[in-house]
Amino acid sequence: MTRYVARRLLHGILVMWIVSTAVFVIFRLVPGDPAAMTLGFDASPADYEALREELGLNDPIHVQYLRWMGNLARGDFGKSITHGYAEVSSLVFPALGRTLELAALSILLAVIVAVPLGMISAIREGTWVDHVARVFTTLGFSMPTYVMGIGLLILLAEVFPLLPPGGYVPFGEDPVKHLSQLIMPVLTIASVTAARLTRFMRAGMLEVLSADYVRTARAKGLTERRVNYWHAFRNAAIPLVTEVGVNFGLLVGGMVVIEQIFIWPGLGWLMIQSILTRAFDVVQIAVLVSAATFVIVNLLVDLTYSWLDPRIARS
Amino acid sequence: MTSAAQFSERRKIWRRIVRNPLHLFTLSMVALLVLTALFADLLAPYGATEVVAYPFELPTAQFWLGTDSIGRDIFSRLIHGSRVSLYVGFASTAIAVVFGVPMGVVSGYFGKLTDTIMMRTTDGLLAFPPIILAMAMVAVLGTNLRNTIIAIGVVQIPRFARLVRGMALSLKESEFITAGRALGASHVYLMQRSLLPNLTSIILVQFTLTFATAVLTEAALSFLGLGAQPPAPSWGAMLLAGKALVSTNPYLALGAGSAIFITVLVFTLLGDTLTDLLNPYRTDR
Repeated sequence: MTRYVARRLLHGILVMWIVSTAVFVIFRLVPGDPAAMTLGFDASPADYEALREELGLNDPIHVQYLRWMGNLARGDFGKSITHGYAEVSSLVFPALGRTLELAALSILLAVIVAVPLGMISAIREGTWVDHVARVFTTLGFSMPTYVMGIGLLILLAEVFPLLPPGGYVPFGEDPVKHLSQLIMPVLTIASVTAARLTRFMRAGMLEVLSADYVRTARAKGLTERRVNYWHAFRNAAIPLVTEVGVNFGLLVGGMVVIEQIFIWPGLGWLMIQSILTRAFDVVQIAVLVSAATFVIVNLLVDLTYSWLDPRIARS
Repeated sequence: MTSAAQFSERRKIWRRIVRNPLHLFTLSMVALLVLTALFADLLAPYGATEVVAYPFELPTAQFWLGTDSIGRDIFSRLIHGSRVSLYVGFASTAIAVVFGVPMGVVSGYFGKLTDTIMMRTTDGLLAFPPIILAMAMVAVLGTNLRNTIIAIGVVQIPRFARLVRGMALSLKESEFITAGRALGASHVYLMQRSLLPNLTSIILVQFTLTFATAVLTEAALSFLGLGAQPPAPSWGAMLLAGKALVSTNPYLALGAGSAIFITVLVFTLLGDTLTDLLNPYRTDR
């Protein structure tokens, strides 16, 4: 087990190294260097040269790479020249926190809906309950979150003006308003995620229900309820951990559009603002941090999984 | 495979299509979408950027979904938009296949160091949430449709490589590969003639699913202002315009939203249909 944990940690570090190298490559080696990106195309050559010097873009590429990796290793994300030399981390991490809040609540709601729905759908396979659940999952699978979000916005903020159309007030400032602003984005993401999780839960449950040990449990006379909820559910739920983790990681990145619709100043929103204002120094860290979150979540999921199912670590 | 066997294989697939109403529905919808995109110029009552009336006309017999903020026919723009969506979907998925499939085959076939290097690289690329990686690339390359296609395609390369690599890995232990080696066939020959034909159905299924994802991503990027630029009739861009006008003219957002939803649904269903039709182990009654 210890060896497994160590191996997974090492793998995580390796992936993070590849990720930060990829970010470096994307932002340095492509046409249109960071200085040109920051200044735009109509900047004077003198300004351009000065900025290149300031950003260290005139140094050889390997020097730039070592400086980039060195700064990251020390947790120094630099200052943003486009944001009045503010610490980039002071922009990125509060935004990440707001995104995580949205993601965590959405996943929680999705699990609360998906687990019972997927189970019932599998236990009552072929009945109307199952058909309703499958229509829901198929539609949810193809429903883009942003279409869903705009649909909700039209319904709950325009047709029936029950909720604010978006925005963000810190919880400490006005808890009620904060929560009311959370409802629509959370509903949007949760419903789409719930569709995926329901499908997964249903498939897992169906597989487990036809397993030998479930037949044995039935044969020795256990009640249907005990077989379904004790024997089958617990084994079907383990793979769900992975699925939840994958979805959580994807959400942190994929929330860009939702945050834009509901004007929620999370990581995705920050990225868009920074791209539009050419603040490449913020964009690259935002990209890096969202990938890092994905890696860390996956790592935690793998470790949880191997703790729940020790066979994984031994293989 | 002899031509007679091929013929009976085709008849079997045809029978499966005719017998299953869902398959029939899916395939006709795909055909409808593709034809709409191909003949958009003939089908749309007005041009994509043609100003035909006052802004914000309500739906009438002449303008089925009304007009947008500068007086263009929304219905016509939706039809023209299918061309943008399907074109981006096809082109970017093609990029993913052209680079991803060879990477996967080589990686799975040779294994060892080649495999390790390729798989660690894809690990790194897969660690990025797809849309974030696409956004970063567009931010650097510049916002236009060509760069959107490149960005979406590149994001999907490691996904194809992974899938194909897994299949190649299990297939290369098969007896027909060993036999080929024993007969002195070269690696390239075996990969091309023995591995690849066995991977076509799984690649085809993945193609349709990736296509759906690509359409979604293009719409998302355009919605964020990072994809097709105005006045191009992109569904995502129309959704963005529609969001701002939700209270005065909801048809814009509803139309574009439905178009994206239906297209993605149809191509996701096509994935299921192809999986079913091309499954050699399925027995028909």
